[in-house]
Amino acid sequence: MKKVELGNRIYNVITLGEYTDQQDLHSPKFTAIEHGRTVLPLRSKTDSGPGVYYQPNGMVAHVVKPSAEEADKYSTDRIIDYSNASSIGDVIRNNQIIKDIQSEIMINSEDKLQLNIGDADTPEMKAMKMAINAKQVDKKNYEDRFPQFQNDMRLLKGNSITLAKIISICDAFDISATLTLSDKDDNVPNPMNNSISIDLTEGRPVK
Amino acid sequence: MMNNKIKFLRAVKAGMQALGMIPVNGANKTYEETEVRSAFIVNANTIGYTFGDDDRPDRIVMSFFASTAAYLSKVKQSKEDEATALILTDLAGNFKFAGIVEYHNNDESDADNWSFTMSFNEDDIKNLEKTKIVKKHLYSTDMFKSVFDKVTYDVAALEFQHESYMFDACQLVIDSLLQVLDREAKVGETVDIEFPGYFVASVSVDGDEKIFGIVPDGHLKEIIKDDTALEK
Repeated sequence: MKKVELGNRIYNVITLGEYTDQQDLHSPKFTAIEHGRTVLPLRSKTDSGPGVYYQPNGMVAHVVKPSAEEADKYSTDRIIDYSNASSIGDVIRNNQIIKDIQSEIMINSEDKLQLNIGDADTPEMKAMKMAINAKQVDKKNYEDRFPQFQNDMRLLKGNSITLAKIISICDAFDISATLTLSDKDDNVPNPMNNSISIDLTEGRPVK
Repeated sequence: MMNNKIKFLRAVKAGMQALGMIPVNGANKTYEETEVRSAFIVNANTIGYTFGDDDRPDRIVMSFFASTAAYLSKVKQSKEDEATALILTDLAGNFKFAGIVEYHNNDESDADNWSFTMSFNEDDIKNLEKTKIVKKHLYSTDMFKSVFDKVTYDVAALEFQHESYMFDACQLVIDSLLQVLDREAKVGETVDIEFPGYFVASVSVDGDEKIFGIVPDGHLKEIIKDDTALEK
């Protein structure tokens, strides 16, 4: 496995032949193509910038090469190659490098996601939106964590959300969610006399 | 030796034109004026490849000939009694095309002298074998594919979407070129298709027979002389 950071995004690195052979296994948005001394992101025809413009059922892909000034940014020297790891220590080190790059990208992004919170929003949806707004994330940087990114982003524009969706979105955005069940007040009949809290994102009771 | 028949016919044509027996106007066309691109796209579609309305076929054609020269520049022999041929056959092994490089000792200069020719005619290889040992290489080998891959990427800004598509590309280039030459053939005329910097392909009609020829243009000859072409 190889990974590289290009233009504030982490890509899996493969050859174009591997992509053609196994398109179902590789998300084109997170795939970069290695050729000679250059690694370029896979692009669709509506994109722009340096990259390999794949043509479905085509024989050849059009390649937009980086300028001489940009060449270093797209050099294969920047690839982190897990197959070169000779020990668990190397794997951990590579993972840490990728994690640091990801954190750097997520912190330094300028395109912050801000969701509108309205009166029609259910309390759980309000909580979800407030948490995301507080994080000030660039949603693009989290795209690879969502199985259905566009659908989930559309859903966040709505007024209500299911518990299952709260859990998956919290998980994707590194948010911990806790569900607490307790008596409404001291005077309810048959009180629980206890409060029960569950960390939904970890699935373990909170002490 | 190569394309002698074409050269002879051209000389005859020039003589007849000088005597006013046939019009001076030749039938020279540039590659862009022909239908090689559309023939390539149609042929590619029939074997399952999609091409849009852009110049990718032209860039593949260009890369094919540049790769032929680049490959031969790497494997050429420096012996006068030897020649090196890069041969394209169909899947059944029938000859389609070859690029050939020969070494000629130049007593008057320290510079090596190489001749680079191309042919659609297997007899040219057989005739050459009467005087020289011909080292034969094939377009289907991994060694040629690695050259074709690199040249296509560097020169034409294209990348083959799968290694296995390269051999199909070689077939399509030659088939499409021959198809268009065949269509353009006219009795009493030599029709030239010129791809500046790369080749001039020709067809003439001799009785019932169409004679196809191809000569490399200057740029390819420069590549042949340059052992380091691929490293650049």
